[in-house]
Amino acid sequence: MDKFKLAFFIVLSSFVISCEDLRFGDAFLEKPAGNEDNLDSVFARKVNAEQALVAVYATLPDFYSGQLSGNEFLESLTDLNNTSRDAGAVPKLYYSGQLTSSAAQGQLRFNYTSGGWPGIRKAWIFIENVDRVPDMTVEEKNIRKAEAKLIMAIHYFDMLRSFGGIPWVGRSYKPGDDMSDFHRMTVEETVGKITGLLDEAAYYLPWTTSSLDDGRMTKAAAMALKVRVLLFVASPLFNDDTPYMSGQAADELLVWYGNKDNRRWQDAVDAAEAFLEELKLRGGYALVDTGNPREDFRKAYFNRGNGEVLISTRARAKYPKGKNDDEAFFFATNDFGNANTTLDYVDMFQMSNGDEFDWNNPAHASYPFFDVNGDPVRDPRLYESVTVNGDDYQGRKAALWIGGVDRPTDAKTKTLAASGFCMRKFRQDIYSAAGKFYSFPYLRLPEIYLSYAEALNECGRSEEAYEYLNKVRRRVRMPDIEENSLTKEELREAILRERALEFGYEEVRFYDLVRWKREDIFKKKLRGLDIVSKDKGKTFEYRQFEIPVARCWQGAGWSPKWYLCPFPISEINKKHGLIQNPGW
Amino acid sequence: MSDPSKHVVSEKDGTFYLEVLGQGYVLVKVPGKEYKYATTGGEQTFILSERALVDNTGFSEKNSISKTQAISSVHSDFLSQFNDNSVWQSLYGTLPGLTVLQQLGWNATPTLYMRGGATFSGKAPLIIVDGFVRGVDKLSMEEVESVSVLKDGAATALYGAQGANGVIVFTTKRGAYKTRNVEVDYKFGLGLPWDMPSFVDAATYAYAMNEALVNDGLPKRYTDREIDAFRSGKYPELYPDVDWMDVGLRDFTTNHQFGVSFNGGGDNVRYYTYINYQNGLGLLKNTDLNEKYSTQMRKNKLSARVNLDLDLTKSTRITLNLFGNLGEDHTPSTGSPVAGFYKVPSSAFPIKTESGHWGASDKIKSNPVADVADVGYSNSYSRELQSDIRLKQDFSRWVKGLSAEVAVAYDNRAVFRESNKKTYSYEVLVPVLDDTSGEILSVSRNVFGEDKSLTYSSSLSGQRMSSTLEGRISYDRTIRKHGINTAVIYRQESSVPLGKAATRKYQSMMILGTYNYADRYIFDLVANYYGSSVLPKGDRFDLYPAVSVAWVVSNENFLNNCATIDLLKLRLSYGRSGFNSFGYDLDQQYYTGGNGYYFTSSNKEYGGMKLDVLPVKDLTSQLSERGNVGLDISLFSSLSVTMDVFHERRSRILQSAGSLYSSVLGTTTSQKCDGMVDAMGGDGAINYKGNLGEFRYNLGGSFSFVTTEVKQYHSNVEETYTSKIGKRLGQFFGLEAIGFFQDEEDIKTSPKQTFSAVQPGDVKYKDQNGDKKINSNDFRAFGYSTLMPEIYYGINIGFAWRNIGLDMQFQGTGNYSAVLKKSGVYQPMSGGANLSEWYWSENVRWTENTKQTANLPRLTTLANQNNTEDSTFWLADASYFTLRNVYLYYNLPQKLYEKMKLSGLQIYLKGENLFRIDKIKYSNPDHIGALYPDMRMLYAGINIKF
Repeated sequence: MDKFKLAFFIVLSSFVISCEDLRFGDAFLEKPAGNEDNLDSVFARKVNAEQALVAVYATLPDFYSGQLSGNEFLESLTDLNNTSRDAGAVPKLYYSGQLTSSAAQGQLRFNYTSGGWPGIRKAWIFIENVDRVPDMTVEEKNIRKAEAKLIMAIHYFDMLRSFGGIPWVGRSYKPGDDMSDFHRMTVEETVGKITGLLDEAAYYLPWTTSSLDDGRMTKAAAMALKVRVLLFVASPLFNDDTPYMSGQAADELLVWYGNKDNRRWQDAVDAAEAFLEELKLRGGYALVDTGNPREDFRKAYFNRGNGEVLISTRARAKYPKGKNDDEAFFFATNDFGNANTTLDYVDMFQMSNGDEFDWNNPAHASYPFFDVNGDPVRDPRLYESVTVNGDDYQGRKAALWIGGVDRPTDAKTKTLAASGFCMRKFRQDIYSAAGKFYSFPYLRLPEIYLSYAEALNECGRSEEAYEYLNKVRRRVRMPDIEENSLTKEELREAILRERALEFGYEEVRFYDLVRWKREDIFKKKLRGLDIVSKDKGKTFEYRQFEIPVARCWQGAGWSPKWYLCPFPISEINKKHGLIQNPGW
Repeated sequence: MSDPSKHVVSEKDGTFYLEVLGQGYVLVKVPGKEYKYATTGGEQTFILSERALVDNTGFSEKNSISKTQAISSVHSDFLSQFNDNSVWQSLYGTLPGLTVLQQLGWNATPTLYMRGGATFSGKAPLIIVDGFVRGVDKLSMEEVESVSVLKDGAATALYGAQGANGVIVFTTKRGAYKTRNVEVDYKFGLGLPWDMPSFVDAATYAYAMNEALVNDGLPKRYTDREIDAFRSGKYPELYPDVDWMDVGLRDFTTNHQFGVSFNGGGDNVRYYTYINYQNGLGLLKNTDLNEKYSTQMRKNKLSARVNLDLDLTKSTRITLNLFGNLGEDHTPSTGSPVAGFYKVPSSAFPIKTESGHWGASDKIKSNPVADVADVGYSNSYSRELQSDIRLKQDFSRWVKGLSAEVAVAYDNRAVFRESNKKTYSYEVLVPVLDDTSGEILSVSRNVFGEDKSLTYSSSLSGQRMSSTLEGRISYDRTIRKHGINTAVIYRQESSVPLGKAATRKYQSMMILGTYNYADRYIFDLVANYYGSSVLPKGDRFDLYPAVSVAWVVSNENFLNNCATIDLLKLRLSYGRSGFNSFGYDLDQQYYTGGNGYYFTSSNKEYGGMKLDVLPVKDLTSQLSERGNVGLDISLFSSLSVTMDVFHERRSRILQSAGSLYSSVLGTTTSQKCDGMVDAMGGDGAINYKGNLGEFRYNLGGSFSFVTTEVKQYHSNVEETYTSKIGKRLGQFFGLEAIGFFQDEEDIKTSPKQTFSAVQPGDVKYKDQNGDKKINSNDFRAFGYSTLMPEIYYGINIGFAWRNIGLDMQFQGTGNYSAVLKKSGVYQPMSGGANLSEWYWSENVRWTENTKQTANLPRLTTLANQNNTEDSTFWLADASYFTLRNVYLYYNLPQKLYEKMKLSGLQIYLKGENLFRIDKIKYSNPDHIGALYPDMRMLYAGINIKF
């Protein structure tokens, strides 16, 4: 029996050993092997540290970023575009007026919880740790840190123009840190922080980049963004005798400066002049101008590295290949009506000779887009911003008449071109954009010209403004606006219109209307165009119609609260000092 | 019995020799029970009326005297009455403290809570089979000797950081010395679906659709002529009327269960072997469209168990358990496609069109019959082996009472899935009507989809390898009145499923100590030093201590001669245990791949790296602290009562702390180990056995009451009444419905409801905070928890007269809420959903004419967020009382089976879920949303003993 026992013990112990290579204590409890890159190991090598900065870049905003859920355009909140869809945030929350502070953040025009703060945190982590990287030079580190700061400034500014003053986060937080007080800065403090970041960034950044670094932040980007920031805050939304709406946030100067001071316009002028001086000195940037206005304008917003785009953001590699392609992510919603350009926008484009377009002028009204020979009659930018009936489209003529290929019915909802028009910018005719490199022109050189012109006009230097307004018009071969032909107010309107014409679908118009508190434009009922053809596309009749999709702020439902976004109620309830914006 | 220390251990056949001086009595102790017999002198035979019933903790056995913890057990004598292909069927309402809630579905297993499951998520108790952590899904109740539930801190401390949710210990049967028994059991089962809703016919649906569309301000969909066409059945292709439930589902299912057990032993070997085969068919019709395969749902299971006990020497014993299972689960490739029969309105489309295609519509692009008949099939094959071996060596030769054990368990389970899928084509028919006359001018026919042939795919869909190593040294000795039992146990467990992050390892070093003074005062101590692999390195171990005491009052001298009291015992315990259900590295912050970005003029993608979520500070296991007071009484050898009162505080529950930190931090904020829940209540059982001549009966019941209170929970609420703190776990929160909007004026003058645009006939809610807005701040607690009932009880009644017997088990719940959300049944039409008779004819929906009497909101075709918000309108009382199990048997007379050379022959009938009293029509209150039908089961069987 003892032999049997011994044999059994041997069998048992081999069983024990074979099914478990015997370890005890913490060694046994070790977790399965996996990724363990941490802060120390990442910032021990340049190649990893660079990747940490790439992740900061990846937080940059994108025009189709889904900030408004359902791939809606910010332009749909303006007079330029209308969405005729019944899904998505614009119809469901904005047009309907159902938006409250408890709406899911992912649906709003700016996502407070994830829109800017993650990028700011990533930027701080990079700035705080990059000095440890052994295989980077001090100069490299300074440049990279400046890039991170500039991206931070972009996030801060995007929040400033959506919310007003916001909390300052001056470092990356770790568990155990005091996280009890994140009150809002005043508008003035916020502007100070942003311009501070921009000045620091501009100090180290190179004016231009090599093609290897194409897409990275530059000194030109920093100085240009400063112009945009200062122009925005000099405008009446923040810089006025009264707040746009009263409330606690207004009392505490979180949504305005508290007074009207014309020096703020002068600051914008100074920033623009600083930029322009540097540009004169170093060159490197110019409007795309090869003498072919329509193509130049397209290249100006579409091509990356064209010398005109000062800040481009690149959330994607390429435009989708086509309507039915697997990659056709965001154009699909166009077909359901999110890209219905309004007739109001189309009518803003002058005749190519500089005359205002007028439906009461029979010559205009019978050939609004192309003359009898099929030649374009309007500002070339119209054809690159909006697909109009009869233009070249997918190798044929766009048939936007009722019953035509591109507008099969006169349905006013949920269809492509329900307004009689469709967005052309970025999208082009789909095929010409397909497969091309993707980037969003966050800030282009002409904006600096127009911002400078606008600030000059407000500072009483109107006569100098015309030159910069006309610089932008000349590129598309539109006639100059004659110097001193307009009053200050007329010139302001002309500049605002020029910005709309130049930057349609580039997220400029909405903020222009907001900063100028353009209640009058927000309230306006918008129009579309029914094009009727009795002979299948040979001759046309044009019938304007009022777009039936109602926006709650058109007319009596107007409230200035819409200028700024609500903070999410869940954030306010955390009681870290966040004060809600007026009206929400 | 003048000298209680005088004792003797019987031989294996039960004989013992004891010298008794004078008159007295003999106390015969078997685990769990004591019997007193007066001495008569000479040879005496004592017949012990019952088998010894013990509580098994997975580490040791406790009897009714030695038990100081709160443990409830049920044994094979009870379990075998109601056994079924699921081990859970006989556990409804059986074990006080264990809440078993039925779930519906082809492969559903019930939801289990032990004493309230006092944590936010991951409430399932730990399941132990024969001392090791294992699944029981493939086990048959027939092979189970006992099921014990460890409820208090003293018992759950044994399982350290896995024990806090309670432990259910299954112990399988073992052989007996010098016996040989063979038992064959076969039963045939019928499953009968019940409590199913019925839906309106096509004409009614079309009529209701028009009503709903008019309500929505939309044009009518059907003309009167078309509604007539649905009714007359004149155009069955264009205007069909299909009773999908009838077309798609059979009235019954069948199954077979067959089991053979061999058990017995010789002088040194004992064995228990059980082989079980089961199969069962599903509820589907239309499964034989293809000659080569059936798409009926089908389950096959073959399992075998061998439990061996070998006595190698007088002091060396080996225990070996092997359990193997082979399973096959066959379904249509769509899985369990029962939902379609509920969802498709009878007017939607014909089963097949005249051209031979499956019918479907623009909105519903799949045909429920085709989803069964024409989609191919899939098979899951599962293989499982559970094995363990234990060697026990008694060292009494050297040190009296000293012994050592070593045990190894190794389990392996794999599920292999293959599917042979196909798609089908369907045709959408749209009649083109004459504008004025309404005549059918023509029919537009469009065929979509492709009728493809089968495509094969396969995968390993599940796998788990687990191993446990255990060693222990025990010292167990009684010296005069002092009993000492101590053990030092080392144990390590590893479980490696598919997916490496799911690997879990545990390790424990435990000291157990018991001191027993004359079976009167018993002290138990546990110190369990327990480590988990998911905890931070260097801090993986926690100490889980427990103390428990018992005072056996009936063994005190002053009660010694009291014949009426068999047992009177008080128990008191306090103990800690833990639980951790989170993943690895929550305490670490790692860099992971972030979004990339495109630099260079040639658009080169650069990879990003980002710092992951903030680490959890002070990451640790949940801590359960439980106090328990218990009372065990046994009277007149026929009545037994057990009662326990307990309080548990569960703290350090890992919870989201997102509501604490501002979003400005820019990262997903870390969780915090600071959730807290209290659970308190009582549970108990009572059993009475008696007889009137040949009529024997027993009455019994178990009762549990447990209420929970959330103590610490992070959420940001504007109104205090919307807070979950101070409420039950799973407490229903909703709006308070106060009727329906009667007209536009009513809407105008009422607070604005912000969920969706409202109109007359929509549900109107109370403004709880008076801010003139109905929004998320107006939700407050109503009713009870929707997770689990506070009151849970079972009642057993058994009768036997001569050879005939009837046993019944009832089960019920109380203080239990449910939300009536089931598309098509309680919330019809919107988004193309079906319309139930419940909504249409059994209740009164809101219309202009019924606004005074309506008890349901208006019909709508749109998604009506306002009406479907959680509110008191959809809140229902989920308590019920049900007849879970019935067992009616007839034992053939001895003369008869002895003639057949058998030692027993029984025929029987069993029934499950035969009736239920509840307040919810057309749903099982335990599982409201389920579309798989609730089943009544009927069995007829025969049991032969050789």
